[in-house]
Amino acid sequence: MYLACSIGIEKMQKDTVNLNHGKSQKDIVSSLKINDESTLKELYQTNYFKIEKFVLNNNGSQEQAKDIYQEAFIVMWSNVKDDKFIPQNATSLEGYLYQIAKNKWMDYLRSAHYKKTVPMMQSVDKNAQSDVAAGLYQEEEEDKVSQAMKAFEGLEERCKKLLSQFYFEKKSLKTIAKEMALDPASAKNKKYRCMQALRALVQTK
Amino acid sequence: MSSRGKHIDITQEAFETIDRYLSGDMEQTERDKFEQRLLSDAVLREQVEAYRALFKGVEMGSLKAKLESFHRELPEEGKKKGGRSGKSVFMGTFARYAVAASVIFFILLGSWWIFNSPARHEQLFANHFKPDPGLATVMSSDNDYDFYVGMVDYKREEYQKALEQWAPLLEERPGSDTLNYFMGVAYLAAGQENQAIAHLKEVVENQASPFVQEAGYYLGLSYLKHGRMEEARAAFAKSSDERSKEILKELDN
Repeated sequence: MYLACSIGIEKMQKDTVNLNHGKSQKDIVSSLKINDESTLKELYQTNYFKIEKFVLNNNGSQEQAKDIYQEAFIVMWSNVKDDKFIPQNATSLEGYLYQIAKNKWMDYLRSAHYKKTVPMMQSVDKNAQSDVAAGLYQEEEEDKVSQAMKAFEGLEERCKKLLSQFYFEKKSLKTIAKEMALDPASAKNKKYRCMQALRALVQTK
Repeated sequence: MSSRGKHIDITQEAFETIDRYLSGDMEQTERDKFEQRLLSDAVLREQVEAYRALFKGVEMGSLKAKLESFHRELPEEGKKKGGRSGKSVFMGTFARYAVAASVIFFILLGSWWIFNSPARHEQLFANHFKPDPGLATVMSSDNDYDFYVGMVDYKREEYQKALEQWAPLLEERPGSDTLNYFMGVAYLAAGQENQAIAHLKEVVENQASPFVQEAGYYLGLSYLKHGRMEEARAAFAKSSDERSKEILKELDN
């Protein structure tokens, strides 16, 4: 058992080292911008336990640690994509992620003791004490995006898959068409119809 | 709400134009024209903003789903560790054993090395080979996009992934020196010299290519790794890359 623990730690340290030294600032930013899965996964898994530890040590549960961490991760990703935060290297990116999560958790403790969850996109900048993410979100835009995100979850599976492959995985329509056994024109049409379905879902909310 | 609701019907063509605009997939002239229209057309502006939020929502929703799967795949050991509070007292002891074990391991490895040291050509290769650092990944036109996705993999030293990304592009543009060059280096880095040789040869034969000297150097290294010394020498001799000259000197010693 101790052996297993120790290997776990070594592995985590090794991953951090890879992230720190294997990639320049430009690489990290461009990998995040194209949603490179292995970069996202590595970043997610290397940093989770630090935040879990912080939340557990501050009256939180594992479930809450996970929620706060995922919210923070999405904010970090979104700000890097929009060039609102430009990391100098992997270390500064990891520090930033940690700060957002920490601030989110502190906000939660201060303001919402008995609220069950913190809404997804409720940004930390509403609170004067959270300066890291201050001013990064415009409320109205934020609201529309989070509505779209919720609506997306309710979309039909096939649409979800198609839109996700195109807008998230950045696959070409040609590739997607091939994988879904469609000809390119009907894939295009399907994409349009899925987008309209999503838009309708948002509007009925 | 009502003003938003009434514009929901949009033709496929209009949607695709907005889509291309937001994905940065428009030529400069079309983009300029589109932006002109945006200035005067409030309805269009509203449409663009609506889709901007929708696209981002799709991306975020997809990311959220991915994060869930990353979470399920967190290393088990880490999960246990996270669940426990406080450090194990035995950790220190274990760490000492681990150090002792690794010292023994390296002693064994060292003696294995001495008795099984690789052939000289392989050593030379190992001393010299460093993959080309790659190109800066700036996303521009559509075709380049796929190429740079591969470049990101390449720089992450995920050569197989980069090769998978690039191979179909080379089918479309078989003569591309850039593709042949980076695929060659990637194959070499992945330990597949024969494939590397095939691609690098293509580049070397194209005297107009900006990669010709570097390609000669890596071609030489590919032969060297294989132990084909005469061909290696010939390739190095043809390449005016500094590194080729250096390695030729070492070969002559």
